[in-house]
Amino acid sequence: MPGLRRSPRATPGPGSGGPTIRDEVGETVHEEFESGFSGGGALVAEEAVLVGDEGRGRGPLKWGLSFFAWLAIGWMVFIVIIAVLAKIGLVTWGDPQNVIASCARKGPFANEGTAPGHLLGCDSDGRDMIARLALGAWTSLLVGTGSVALGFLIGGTLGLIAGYFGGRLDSFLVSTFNVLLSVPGVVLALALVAFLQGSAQAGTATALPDVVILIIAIGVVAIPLIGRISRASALTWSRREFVLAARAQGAKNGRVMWREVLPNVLPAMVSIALLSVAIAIVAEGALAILGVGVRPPTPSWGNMIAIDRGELFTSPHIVFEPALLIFLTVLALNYLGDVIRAKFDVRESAI
Amino acid sequence: MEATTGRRDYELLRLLGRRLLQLLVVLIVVSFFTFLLIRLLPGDPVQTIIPFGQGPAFAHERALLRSDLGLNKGFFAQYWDYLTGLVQGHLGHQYSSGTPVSTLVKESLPVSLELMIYSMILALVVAIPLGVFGAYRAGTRADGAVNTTAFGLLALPNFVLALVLSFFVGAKLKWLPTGGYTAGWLDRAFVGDWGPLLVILLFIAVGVTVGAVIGRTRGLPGAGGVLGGVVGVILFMVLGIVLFHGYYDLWPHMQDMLLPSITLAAGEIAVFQRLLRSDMIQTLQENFITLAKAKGISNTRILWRHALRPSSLTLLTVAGLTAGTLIGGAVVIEVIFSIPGMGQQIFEAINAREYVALQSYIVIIAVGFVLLNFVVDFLYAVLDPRIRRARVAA
Repeated sequence: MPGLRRSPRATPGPGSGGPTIRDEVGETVHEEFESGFSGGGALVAEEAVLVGDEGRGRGPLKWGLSFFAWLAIGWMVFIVIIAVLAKIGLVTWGDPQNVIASCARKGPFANEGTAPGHLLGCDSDGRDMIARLALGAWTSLLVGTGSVALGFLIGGTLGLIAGYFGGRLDSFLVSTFNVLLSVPGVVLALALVAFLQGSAQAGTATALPDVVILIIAIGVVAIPLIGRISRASALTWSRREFVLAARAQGAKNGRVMWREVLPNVLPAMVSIALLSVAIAIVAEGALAILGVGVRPPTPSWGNMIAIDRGELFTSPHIVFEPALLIFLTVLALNYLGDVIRAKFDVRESAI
Repeated sequence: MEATTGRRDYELLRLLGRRLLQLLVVLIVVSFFTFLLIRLLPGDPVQTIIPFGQGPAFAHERALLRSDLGLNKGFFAQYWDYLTGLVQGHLGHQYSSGTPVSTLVKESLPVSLELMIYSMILALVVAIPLGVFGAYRAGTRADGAVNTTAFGLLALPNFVLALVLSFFVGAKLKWLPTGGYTAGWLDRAFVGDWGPLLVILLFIAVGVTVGAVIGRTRGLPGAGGVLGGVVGVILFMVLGIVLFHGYYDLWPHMQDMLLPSITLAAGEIAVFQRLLRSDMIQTLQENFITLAKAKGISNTRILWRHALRPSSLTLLTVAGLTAGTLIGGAVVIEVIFSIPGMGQQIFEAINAREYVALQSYIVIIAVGFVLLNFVVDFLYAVLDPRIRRARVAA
């Protein structure tokens, strides 16, 4: 019988989806990790990977990362640097709002031919794609990380409280999450954006910037998802002996949660955070296609696709360039999330 | 054995009761919050319906309309009216055209359900063999290739895939239309007052029965409840196609639905394949598989008849959740491919600020989601008696 092996433990690398090996659960790591949850997505990823591996101290290959993991880190660093530079205007790739009429709809593979001097072509108004993609990266990453941060702040805290205290509070919060989850995420986000933009238009509320509206909408959708995962994680850690020990020493609930449970829950949540940022970036794109994203002229990857979706058959480059960037970024984030999950052993079924 | 059967039925009844209770709670909570959200929105529906005109005559008209719409009552009285109406199937009217929302739902819900059925069938039919294969040949190069592809698919946002497919398959190769919709078999079933309810009940009945029969008797190769569900849904589909075959063109309908279904299925294939593979790898390490091997049972038989059923529980749950999400969650795909389903309706309602319609859609979707979960839970209990006891006890 060649096929049915007794223990087909494939390497639990990313993409294999194989059985995760449940050995050391990041206990040794939690000291170093306390400050690890502050920066943007890629920075967190990098830091987490570094901290995670040094904590385990794995032989001569200091960080023990595969070539692809480095590629993914490299891509994220590249995107973040480009986004930040485009935003602060230190290095420019041209003005994203500058209209060059002669360049409109031209680009690689476009029916109207290529645009000399503009490597990636121009959009339907004749604005340089590179400049817009660079600034769009800023918007997309901002929405992605911002909404996940909001989701973690509220959902993560609620999940932690639910998992730690248990009992009635727990069942109340869990059923609240479940009710929220019974409305599809896209629909909920769509309704929230419409609501927030509607209030702003009627003048009853101060007009929030589109980016903030999107962060709130996507963040609210993320709350129950993140809440459930962090609750499950907090539940297991709260039953451990060291938590009991801390309580026996007279530590207050808040302190036990902050100093004992949270540092153990966080490493696992880093991988969830990376996956969530990826999902949020996609959500931004989806909402933009539905016409409720960041409004022009501010470019985001999503609204670049949305605005020129009509040009798909004549100038495909306008649509496919931001689409490719979204795909590569999501791929990189998913991959890093998987690498970290394999290291910290978050069960796949929890996601 | 008589007593055991009686107890089992009782347990299933309790499960049913719990689920109905949950359905009720979700209905009340979701409808309350959508109602609240929409009341919080600025803007007066009366002003929307009669936007122009001043003076006492118009003021009188507006006051009449206000009391007709029940807007002069208190908040909770309005909510009570809305909820009782909802239970009786009154979903309100569109502000702009006066069309009853229930008519719009009858037109769009079957379209979304068709899309959901096609993409789920496609996803499961592709993902189950791939998952079984991956577990059987875990660690080989072919397994790695499948996993890498699945990982890539997982990172591909569905709107990107939709654009890629409509560009290459639709516009360049001209194999399939890039958008539009031709009415299909389920649309016919949604005609009339009781059509939708009958269809939904039939859907649940066929799904549960076939799932239960196949899951229990092991009469077919592949006793997994998921396969049972798929077979049930396919039977349901064939039934619909045969019943209504004179009323529509099957081929144009399928052509229109193929690209959106593939788009939606692609991401699901990746998720389902990974889930099934990892669960099955664990199952294959169990003692009963070793026993089966020792008895000399063939690999195929072990995989499909011994290992698949206990491995398919997580897959079943996730498939149920995905199906529930697809009722209204395929908004982007429906918009890109101009499919007039629930997602498209929601999109239009939001853009036109049709809040009454919107709140009805959201409630319907939430209820549909809970209903589907109910079916899944039922199948779950049928598949594994241990879970049945544990769940009822919990």
